[in-house]
Amino acid sequence: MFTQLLFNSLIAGSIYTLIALGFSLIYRTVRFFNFAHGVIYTCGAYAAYAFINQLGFHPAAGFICASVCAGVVGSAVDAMVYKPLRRRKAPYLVLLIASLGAFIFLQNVILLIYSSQIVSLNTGPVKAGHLVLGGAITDMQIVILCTSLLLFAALTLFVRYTRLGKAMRAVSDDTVAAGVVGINPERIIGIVFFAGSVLAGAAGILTSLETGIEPTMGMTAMLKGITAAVVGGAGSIPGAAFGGMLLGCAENFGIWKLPAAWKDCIAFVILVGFLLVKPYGIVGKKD
Amino acid sequence: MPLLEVTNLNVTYGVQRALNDVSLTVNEGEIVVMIGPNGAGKSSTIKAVGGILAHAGGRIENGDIIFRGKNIKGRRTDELVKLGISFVHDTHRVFPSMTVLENLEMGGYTLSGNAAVQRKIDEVIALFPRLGERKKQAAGTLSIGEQQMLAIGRSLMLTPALLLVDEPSIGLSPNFVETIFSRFVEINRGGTALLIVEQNTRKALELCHRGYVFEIGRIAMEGTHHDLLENRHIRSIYLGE
Ligand SMILES: Nc1ncnc2c1ncn2[C@@H]1O[C@H](COP(=O)(O)OP(=O)(O)OP(=O)(O)O)[C@@H](O)[C@H]1O
Ligand SMILES: [Mg+2]
Repeated sequence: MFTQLLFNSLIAGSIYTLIALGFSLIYRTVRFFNFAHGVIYTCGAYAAYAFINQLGFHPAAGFICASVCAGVVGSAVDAMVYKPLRRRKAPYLVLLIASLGAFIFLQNVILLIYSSQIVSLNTGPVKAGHLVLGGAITDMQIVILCTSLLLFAALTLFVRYTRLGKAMRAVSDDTVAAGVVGINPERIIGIVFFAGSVLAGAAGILTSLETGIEPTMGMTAMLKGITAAVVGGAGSIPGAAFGGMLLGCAENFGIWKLPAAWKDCIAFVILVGFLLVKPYGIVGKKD
Repeated sequence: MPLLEVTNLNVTYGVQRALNDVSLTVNEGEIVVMIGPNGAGKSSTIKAVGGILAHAGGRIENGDIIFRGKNIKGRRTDELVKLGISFVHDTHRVFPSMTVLENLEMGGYTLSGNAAVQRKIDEVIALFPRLGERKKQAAGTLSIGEQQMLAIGRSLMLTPALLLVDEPSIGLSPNFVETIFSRFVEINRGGTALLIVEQNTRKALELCHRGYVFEIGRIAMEGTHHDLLENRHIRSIYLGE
């Protein structure tokens, strides 16, 4: 039982981590909670459905194309909605509400195209799981774990060592000073939205390897991602992974003793608890 | 043709007027200082030239800023950097979470090739050895004086044609001020023109080739190093003699 719960925790946790990573990357650069992140997750899942089921792409190729699509949608939202607002020096709250507007708008576009019917990805016949240390884990779940780990490592190394990654950190440290050294902050912000949205899209696709795709799937995903990000300290990359894993464990081990209906509730108890006790998260600091 | 020519600059912050018809020039290879009491408009002038006035909530109502014959009024800072103008804030503004070395690398963001960046880093560290000792440290943990050195060092990564510095000595201990001012002379010998705002009038006048005296939003006086140091008005009001 314990091993099974641990597997479930890691799988859920790695999805939350991916959502939180993109969310945090964007948050620390533009300093507002980008709620539209949730619908980008949905876009990723539907784009994968389009590439794999409708266009007959190989699942791996479909995964890559769909993630890029999600990235493009994310940076388009930035260019068309947030950038004009930034230019007018719109306050935090206006950007926050605009992002909710973008969420609702895009969710309805998806609803118009694909209707509210649940669809699922065509990834071959369902196979029985492998038994490892008394717990079952399927091939798809191994794919989810490995892909998440790979994306996490890639992002960490990218931000730490590459010129563009350093420029991203510079812009999030001080946008004006970034301009002073010759970085065009708007260009970097566009790239950050692209990268963060690719991660959200990838999370949406990985989720749909296991469950159905529906237009409203982004809302809970976004709330879980935000919880994970806040728990880890919004804006921190290792913090996002920590928060994601903590949330995954709390939910899955929580329902060991509690009725399963409490699962979502656990996330929000954690969120509110952290906001009250440690609003800057585990690794975050006041700025 | 002067390197920089500012003509009839008018700046406002909302309804408040900060600059009235300010005109000044900086020639190739010159050190020019701006002095004057608090609120006289020195920072507003240098921020307008450096393209960061809008970030401070200001607006250029009128006037032109010509750099090497091109009107640069309203250009973004990152565009100015590519033209050869670097800016150092009075509040340093290093990248606090990044290391000293990474800060310097960012100073060379527009350089092509790692070798060029590395060569420049070595040059800057030769100028400010203290930065070499602190290489791996996060910039936010440096002392104010060290952050100022880093901010100046970072701006030198590109060998700008014009370096704009707002209040380099603010909050620094006297020997830090000495170091930084002697570096300005070296930087200037390397061919960079400097436009500096400085509270410490004596130091400023000793350093400069020419200077401008600001009073309530306009230029009250201008002159060469000797003119200003010998001027009776300046000696009594600013140098307390
Ligand atoms: N962000 C701002 N918002 C509103 N007014 C401002 C702002 N910055 C400067 N001012 C006003 O503009 C005028 C000129 O200020 P400025 O900062 O250019 O002066 P300064 O000569 O640099 O003074 P100091 O020696 O104090 O730095 C002052 O009256 C000041 O109050
Ligand atoms: Mg000033």
